[in-house]
Amino acid sequence: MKHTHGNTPKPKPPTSRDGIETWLDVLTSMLSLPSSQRTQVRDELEDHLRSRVDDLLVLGKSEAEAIRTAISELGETAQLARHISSASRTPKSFRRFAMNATFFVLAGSVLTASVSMMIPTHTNTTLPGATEAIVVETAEVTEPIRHRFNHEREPVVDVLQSIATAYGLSFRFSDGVRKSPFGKTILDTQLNTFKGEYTLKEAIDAFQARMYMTYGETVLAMTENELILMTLEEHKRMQIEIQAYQIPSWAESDDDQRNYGFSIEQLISTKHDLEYTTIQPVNGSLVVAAPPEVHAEIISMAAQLEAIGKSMQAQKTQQRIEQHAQMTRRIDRLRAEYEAAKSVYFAEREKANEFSNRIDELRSRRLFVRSNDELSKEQQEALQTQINNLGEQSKQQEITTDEAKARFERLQSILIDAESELILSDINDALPIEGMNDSKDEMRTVSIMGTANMRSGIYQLPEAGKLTLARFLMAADVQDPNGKVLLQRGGVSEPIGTVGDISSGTIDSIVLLPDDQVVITAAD
Amino acid sequence: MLTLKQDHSTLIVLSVLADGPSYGYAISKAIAAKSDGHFKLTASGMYPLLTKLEKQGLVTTSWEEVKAEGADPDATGRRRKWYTLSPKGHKQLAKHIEANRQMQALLDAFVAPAVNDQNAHA
Repeated sequence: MKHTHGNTPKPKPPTSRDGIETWLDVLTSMLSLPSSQRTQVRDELEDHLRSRVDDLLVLGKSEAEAIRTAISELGETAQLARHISSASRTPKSFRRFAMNATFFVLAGSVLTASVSMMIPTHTNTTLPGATEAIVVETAEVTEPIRHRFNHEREPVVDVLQSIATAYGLSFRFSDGVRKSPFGKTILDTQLNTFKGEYTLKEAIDAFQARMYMTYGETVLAMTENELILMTLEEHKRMQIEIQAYQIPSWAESDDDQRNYGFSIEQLISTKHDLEYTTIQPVNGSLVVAAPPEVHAEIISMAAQLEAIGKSMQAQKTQQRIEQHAQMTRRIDRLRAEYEAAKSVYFAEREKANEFSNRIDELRSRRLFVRSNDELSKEQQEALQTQINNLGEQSKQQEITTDEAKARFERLQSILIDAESELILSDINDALPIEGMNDSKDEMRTVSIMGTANMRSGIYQLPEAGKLTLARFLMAADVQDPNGKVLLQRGGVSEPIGTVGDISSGTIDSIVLLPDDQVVITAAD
Repeated sequence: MLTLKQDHSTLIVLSVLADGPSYGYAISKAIAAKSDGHFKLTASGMYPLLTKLEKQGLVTTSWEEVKAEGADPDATGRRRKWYTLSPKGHKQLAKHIEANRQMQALLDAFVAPAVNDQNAHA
C-alpha cells in the first residue's frame, strides 16, 4: 500500500547503537509474547521513538537529550510492556500468561523475577504546547479465570495434568526430572487432597504448599503453552536472557571494552553467582547471557555509571569555566602591558624623529650658509659640531627606540597568541556543554563580518555544545559595544540588538546554527 | 487531571483514522494537535488500544519500510506500521458518533436550564 497523505518529515539515519536500541532491548525482554509479536512491537515503538527524536532535533535539542525525552515520554517501561503484552494476547493465551512468566519453586527458595525494577522509572513529560493534559489510559485487563478442583488420593501427575488442562496448557516432566533419582518417586506419589477454586497462580501456589518439603531442587514452571516440572538447573537455564548493552563511548579501544566487560563481571560476581552468566564485549556492545536478576543489576549499574559520567562532565565544565576566566585575566594583564609598551615606543619614536628633524634642519642651514658664504669659518665649524653632537644623541635615541619597539612587538605577539588560544578554546569547546552532538558529517560553519575593529571571517561551529551569539561576538573580538548586530539565517535578515546588550545578557543570546551569518554595522 | 474512558479514546483514534491511514506516532501527534494539546494518549494507552482495534477488525494494518534521508539506498530502513480504518471501523465510528451526540443532547437538556438559571441570577 502506498501512503501519500500527511507531511511526515524524512527520518534521520540512525546512529550505530544508541539509547533507543538499549531501551528497546529492555522493553522487548519484558514482553511476554511470542518472538514474532515481540519483533513487531519493537519495530513499531522504534519507529515511534525515532520519529519523535527527529521532531525534537528540529526543535533544537541535542541528540542525546532528544533520545532521553522521547523515551521518557513513553512512560514507565514495565507498565508499557504489561499493557502491550496483555492487549496483544488472545483471550486463551492470556490465561497462559496470566502470571507474566513468574516461576514458582517447589520445596526451595522462591525465585521471582520482578521486571519492574529493571529500569529507572521516568516521569511523564507533556508534549510541547500541551496545557492541562487529559491522560487517556486503557482500563486494566480483566481478572484471570478461576477453576474448581476436587482431587482426592490421586497421583501427582494426574493433579498436575488436571491443573494444566484447566488453563489450556499441557503438562510434562522435564528430561532432568525424569532422569533424576526423585523423578520416579514423584511419579509414584499420591496427593491426599487437592481441593478448592483457584486461578492458575493460586493453583500452583496450592500445589506447592502440598508438595512443600517433599522434593528439593524442583521447580514448577510455566512457558507459553506448557506447565513443566523441572530441576532447579533447568529452570535457571530457561530463565537466561541474552541482551546487548551499550558500552560507554569512553571505552574506545578493544582493550578498554574488554576491561569494561571484565570489570562489570567482577563487580557483579560479588553479589551474584555467575554460573549461568556470560559477559562478552562485541563491537561496542556488551552481550550478556544471564538470568533476569543479573540483567537488573547491570541496568542499575549502568544508570549509576551514567550519573558518575554526568558529574564528571559537570566537573570538566567547571574546570573549563575556571580555565577560561584565567585565560581572560591573563589577556587583560597582557593587554595592559602591551598598551603601556606601545605608548613608550611611540614616545621614543617621537623623540627619535625630533632628533632627525633637527639634524636635517641644521644640515640644510649649513648648506644654505655655505652657498651664500655669509658665515665665518668658526661659525661653520660650530654648526658642524652641533650636527655631530646631535647625530651622536640621535644614535642613542634610535637604540632606545629600537628597544621599546622590540618590547612592544614581543608583547603584541604574546597577546595575539593568548587571544587566539582563547578563541580556539571558545570555538572548539564552547560553554555550556549540553550533550554531545555526534551527527556531524560535514563542516558546519558560521561567519561574521562588519566594522574593521574585529576578527571577520568564517568560524567552525563547535562539535560539542552550542555556540551562542554572545560568545561568538567575544571570540570574534567585536569591540564596539554600540555596534548593531544583524543575524542572517536562511535568507532572512533580522536585527538582534547592540553588541553591548547581547554581550551583557540584556538580550537573550541566540544559539547559532550552521550557515548563520552575523553582520556588525557601526552605530549611527 | 481528567481521565477519559476507554470509549472516548476509541472514538478519538477512530476519528483520526477516518482522515486517512496513519501510524502510531502520527496518530498521537494528530490527537495533540486537534485538541490543542488538551488530549494526550499515552503510549501505554494508545498501542494496546490500536492492537485491540486491529483484533476487532476495526482497523487493518500494513508495514512499510522507512528509509532515512541520506541513508545507503541498499541498507534496510526501519519498519513503520500503518493503520487503516476498515469498513467495519467506519460503521463503528458512525455508531460512536451517534451515541456521543445522543449523550451530548441528553446532557445539554440537563445543563441548559442550569446555565440559564445562573445567567438569570447574574
